[in-house]
Amino acid sequence: MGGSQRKATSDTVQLVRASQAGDRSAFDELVRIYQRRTMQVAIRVLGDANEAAEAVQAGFVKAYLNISKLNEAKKFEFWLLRIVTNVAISHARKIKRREEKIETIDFFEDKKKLTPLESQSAEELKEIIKGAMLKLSKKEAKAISLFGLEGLSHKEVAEIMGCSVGTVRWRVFRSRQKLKVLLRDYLE
Amino acid sequence: MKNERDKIELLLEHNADEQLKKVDWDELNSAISTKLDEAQKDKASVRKHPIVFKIAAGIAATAAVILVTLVIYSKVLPSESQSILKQIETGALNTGQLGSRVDETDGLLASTDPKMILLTGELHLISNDPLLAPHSVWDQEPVLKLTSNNDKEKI
Repeated sequence: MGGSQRKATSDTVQLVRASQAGDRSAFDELVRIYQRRTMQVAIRVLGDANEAAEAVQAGFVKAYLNISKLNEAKKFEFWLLRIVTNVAISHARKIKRREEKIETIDFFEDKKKLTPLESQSAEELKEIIKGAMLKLSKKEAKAISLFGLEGLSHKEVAEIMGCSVGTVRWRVFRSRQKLKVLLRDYLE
Repeated sequence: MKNERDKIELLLEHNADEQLKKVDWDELNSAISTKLDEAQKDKASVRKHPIVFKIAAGIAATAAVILVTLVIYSKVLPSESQSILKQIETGALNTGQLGSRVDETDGLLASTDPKMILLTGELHLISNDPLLAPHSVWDQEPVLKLTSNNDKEKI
């Protein structure tokens, strides 16, 4: 049910065209195909499956409402990933604002004693990644999230982000530098 | 460097894998479907009642225009008033009725210089109360009474 990673493009193109013609079941099929992939990228941005699920739902609704504006059906996947990444990043900003209001203790100060990676439980790791990703800029978070996504080339990431490959590489480098500092206690 | 990069990737991937294990795909699919149904209904209602939505959009647009105009005026007016003040200062603008002039011919009344007051006619400085005019020329001793010729010679 998780959906295949990268289904044949011809199927996708037909489904996209049918969706553009108003076929709801075709769009439902696209959801089934891409829900896993969109969840992967949303989790990379947000660090948490529940938050990612909200972003993915909103992303699919946005895609559904705007699918008529997509000119090249074969680029549906990039277009969808761009939408979901943007929604996830907006969602991350909301979480950040919400947590800034509540937070009185610095997260990293509080968790410093929890090392190394092998000893982290899934829940702790989620919180660590979530906190670190929230400290990246929008563009950096987007770059690092898409860059490591299985099956996406650097060129494809650049296309999704609407910038050059060099810019993507620079942003990935910057975000890795920041993550290296933020996660230094967990990388030992 | 490469090692650290790999570790970061490993950390992100490990977390993504762990989180993906928790996902109930059927539930997610159902939630997306419900959201799409709602979006479809909203879209349909916009198509069904285009006039209502056009009127609402018109009202919203008018309100937005008014709001923008008010914001612009509230930002433009202070800068205008500042430019008018500058023009008044430089004399570029005739202030007309805003101007005023004090015509005073009486040296005694017009002067604020105590020496001038003392040298212009008869003046009786009878206040020796230091509380009334402390730290001023009025607070000097002795009290001056410019009434006789002898007194005038003393000065």
